[in-house]
Amino acid sequence: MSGLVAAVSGPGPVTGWRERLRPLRSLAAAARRGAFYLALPAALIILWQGLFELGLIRPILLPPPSTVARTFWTLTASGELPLHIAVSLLRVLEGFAIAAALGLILGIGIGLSRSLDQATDLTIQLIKPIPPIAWIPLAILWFGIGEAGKVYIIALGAFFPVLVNTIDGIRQTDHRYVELARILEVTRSRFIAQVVLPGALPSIMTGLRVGLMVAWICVVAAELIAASRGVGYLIMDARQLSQTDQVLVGMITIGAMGKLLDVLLKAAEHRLITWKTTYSGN
Amino acid sequence: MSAFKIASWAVAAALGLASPALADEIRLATQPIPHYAPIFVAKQKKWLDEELAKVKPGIEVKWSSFAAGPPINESFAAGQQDFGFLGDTPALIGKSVGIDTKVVGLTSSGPKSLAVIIGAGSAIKDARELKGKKVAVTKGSYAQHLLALVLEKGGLGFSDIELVNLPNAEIAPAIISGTIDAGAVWEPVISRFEAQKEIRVLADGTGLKKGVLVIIATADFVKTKPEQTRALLKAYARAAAYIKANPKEAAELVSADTKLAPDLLAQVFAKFDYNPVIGPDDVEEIRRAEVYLRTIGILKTPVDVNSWLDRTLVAEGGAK
Repeated sequence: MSGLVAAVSGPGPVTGWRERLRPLRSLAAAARRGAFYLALPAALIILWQGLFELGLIRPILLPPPSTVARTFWTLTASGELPLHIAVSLLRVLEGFAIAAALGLILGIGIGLSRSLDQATDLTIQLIKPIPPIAWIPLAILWFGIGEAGKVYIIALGAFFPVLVNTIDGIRQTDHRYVELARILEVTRSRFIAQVVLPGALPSIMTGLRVGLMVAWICVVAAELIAASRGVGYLIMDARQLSQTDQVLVGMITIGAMGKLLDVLLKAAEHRLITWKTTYSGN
Repeated sequence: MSAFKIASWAVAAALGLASPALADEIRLATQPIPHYAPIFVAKQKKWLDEELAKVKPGIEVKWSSFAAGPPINESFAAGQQDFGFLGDTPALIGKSVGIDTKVVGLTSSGPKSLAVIIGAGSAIKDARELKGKKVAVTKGSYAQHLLALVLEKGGLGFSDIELVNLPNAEIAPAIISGTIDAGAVWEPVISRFEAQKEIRVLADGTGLKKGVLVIIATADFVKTKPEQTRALLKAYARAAAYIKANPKEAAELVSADTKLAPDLLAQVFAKFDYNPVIGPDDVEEIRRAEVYLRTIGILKTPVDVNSWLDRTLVAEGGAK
């Protein structure tokens, strides 16, 4: 072993300075990666503040980061923002759970059954393009101005990505596996459980991640229905009072929460899909 | 194409090229409610065009309609309007966030033109019984101030009720369908639904809030075109006097603009004082509203009401 180390790192003492510095070097590499990650957002914020200082943008049209940060702090310290986030998060999770359950069940059914696919295809294709906001009048009529209507809008938005990606994932099962299963006379249930579903898993996870994103996006639409709390409500309320800084706080919060949820889902994806499926750049 | 056609196209093009340079524009942001009836009378009777023509011929008036004050603020912020007709509350909010406006006159005042309403069959007898109830108002409107004052009289605050933010037009239907218990609204909602015996007034502005609404103009416009500003105020005052003298005819004239049937509108006119001159008690009302808004944190920066109001233009051009 020491001979190998010597051969690789050249002549010198066995526990050389290179080995001692290795942990430091990987830390530096991580820091460099982190800096690269943050460079663009930081540059945009600095540019934004700079334009304001030069008097090139009117604060009512786009308040500077300093004002937005101050409003963010005030809302967090008073407990308002955490409350609104919690309320919206609950609605999103409820809606997403319903959408995911229905999307998975229907998606797997349609993916596996040609007849179900043909029976439902036209209906789904007609309803899919209708944006969640367009459903608001009906949602109010059917569910009133309570929680149910808002969860309905969110579930509707998240449903289609889950459905479409689940169907796609099942369709993409490599036909060579199908042939192989037929030759080896694998039973249909084993084939589905051990080949089709695991093969569809990457697509299904993509569908779930997109669905969760759409669910967050729909929160603003859903909270147009006479809400009194929530991040979407916060944005609309600020709009009525011409408080553009609060609008921005709401928007940034939604972006941050969306990112957080995505990170969690990605971690779950890592656990479930232990084989490499994608290309991720050089 | 026949020679005749080519010739007519050529003439049309030549005429187009020979027309005078693009006319001056004056852009008005209005709301279709009885509070601003005089401007619609001035529009229908062409008095606005007349008065503007005396200053400079060829001024074009561009009309936009909005559902409430806050959208008017947005339009001003985007630089799209010269004059706006809105309540004291949204006007103050707009000024405080940096929209550079001046109040050049009042559109109207009328303590009975805004009210807290409840269902006709409701058991609520006074403001104290609003505790714990669902009460709706358009946030950022002058009705929110009235609601605060009415609640205060009953010893309550906004934390004692469940506040629901709804547009003015949706509040009465929501009360009738039972989704909410009460709401703070302004005309024509009050008269329209009272006539249908669906709602009744719990408390209006009498003794609490005069219900002052203002005509704002961009500070730039007032500075560079004071004559046109005076012309608009003159037309407004003329129309105000007309409404007072001929309520029935005026109601017929602007029923469509204010979205209220003529006979109801004629009655509603009695609730308003359309004189655009800003009196000292009006200044006091606006100042009181400014203090209230700052106290509840809606105004982040104070508004110097004295410098914001320009009382001179309307005194020279106004009715009195």
